[in-house]
Amino acid sequence: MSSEQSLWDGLKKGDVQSLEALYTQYNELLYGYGKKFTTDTHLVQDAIQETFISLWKYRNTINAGGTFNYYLLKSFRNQLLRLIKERANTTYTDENNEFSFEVGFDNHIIAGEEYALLSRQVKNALEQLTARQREIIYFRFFEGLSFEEIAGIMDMQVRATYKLTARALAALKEIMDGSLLLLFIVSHLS
Amino acid sequence: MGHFLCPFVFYIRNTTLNMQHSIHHYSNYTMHQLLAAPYFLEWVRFPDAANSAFWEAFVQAYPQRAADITKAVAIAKTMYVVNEKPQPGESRAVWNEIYKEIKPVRRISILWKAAAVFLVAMVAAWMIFRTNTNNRIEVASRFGEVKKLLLPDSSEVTLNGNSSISYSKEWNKREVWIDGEAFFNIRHSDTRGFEVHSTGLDVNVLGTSFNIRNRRGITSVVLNSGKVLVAAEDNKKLLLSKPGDMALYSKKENGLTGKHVPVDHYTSWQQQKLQLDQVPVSGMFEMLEDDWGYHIQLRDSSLLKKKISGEIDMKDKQVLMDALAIILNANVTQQGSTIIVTPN
Repeated sequence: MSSEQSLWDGLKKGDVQSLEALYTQYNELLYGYGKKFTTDTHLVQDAIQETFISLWKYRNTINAGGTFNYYLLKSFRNQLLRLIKERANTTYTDENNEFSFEVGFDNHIIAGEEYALLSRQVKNALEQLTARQREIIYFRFFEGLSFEEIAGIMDMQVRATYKLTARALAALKEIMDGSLLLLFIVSHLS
Repeated sequence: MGHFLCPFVFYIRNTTLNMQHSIHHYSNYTMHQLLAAPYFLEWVRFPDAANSAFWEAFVQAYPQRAADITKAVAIAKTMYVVNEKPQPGESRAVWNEIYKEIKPVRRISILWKAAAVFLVAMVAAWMIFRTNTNNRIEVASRFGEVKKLLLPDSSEVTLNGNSSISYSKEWNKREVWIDGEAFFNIRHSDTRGFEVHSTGLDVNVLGTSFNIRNRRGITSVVLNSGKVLVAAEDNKKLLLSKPGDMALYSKKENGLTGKHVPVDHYTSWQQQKLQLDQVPVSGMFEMLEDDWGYHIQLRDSSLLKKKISGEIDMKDKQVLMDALAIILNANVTQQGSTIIVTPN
């Protein structure tokens, strides 16, 4: 099987098979990620479709800086949120977005009733966070992305810079310690 | 961005922002709240000097919480996100939509249009008169491609290169047909069995994972976990119950036989590795042809009997070329899908 780089090169040359190989490789990741925003399978599939079509359309102008993983997640996220917004027919605000997931554990450590109880408790604890915070946890802890990548995917620099006002500092109270947003505000202040 | 992870700077910054991110902040966190706390998860997944010092200081200040921390760490390490997967048929359909959109459009002559209309009429007629011929789903992999898919009952199948699986669209019975090589991870069900059919051999599954390969008239089944009952077309049966139990079937040769093997030698193809344990060069060449689509030209056939052991990472073509050159003490060149071996 070809390496990621050669698929990328093939795509730039206009090779449809490279696009198909990339699709085969990434469609599950995107699907699993998308379903955390919405239960609407069609919407997710539409967003995947749009993502790969635009990948093909703009193959010559896409900057290959960063990994594929990163590029696709970012592009897919934009597509999906746009579709969700269109469907809901509301203005786009990040706060409206849902992002939720369930966690499982290795049942060698805990089992039976304790397992069910723990699942529920962790679910509750996750529900206390904002959607953005859950998304950050998902990317960082479960997908192992770097903070730079997460910020890029979630378009956070723009927002963090924008919010660099007294209002932002007030809003900080609601943001849990250790979240990425705090990081940006902190680094902009320093 | 490095200073994010440093609690010392963190502490000072947060103090200036009038926020409490000291160790005391976590004193009232329950174990499951820790499991949803980013800075705790950060430490579990990406420990460094700074966050380790932070959590050690926490345990020292709150020794009564030490047990909770230890347990939370153990649980966090095995924690995974439940991911939904698309149905294989769905994924195909989406790809077809993408393909439709991107494929170059040509101007079509009137003659071709007429031909197309005729063809559509033929297909329509066929679809009306056929009797349930298209109620099967078939998924195939290309040479060298390792492909994962999910069956309607959520059982997982990994196909090796140049292999295919088919099953009935209705899925009334958990039953699939395999050509080539596949690894199965079967969803357990107390009430519904699972059957895998291959050339001359049926595998009856009781919630389990195993590898099946049929190439050149020989079918082999290697058990990874659980239990399977292997039934050959001559009605001989073999129960595989321990990991590494293997059933081999060849109609021409010895019929159904059993032996015990190291499991990973037969499943490492899923990581795109060729694992060889005292395999004759001829056997390795057959694998390269069957799974990867290479053709091998070799002048000196005495080399074919030489037995080799080791592991070749197939992700990088050059690794294979280098490995062949070393194993065979030969000059190895490639022309398209043909590998030419010239002994030194």
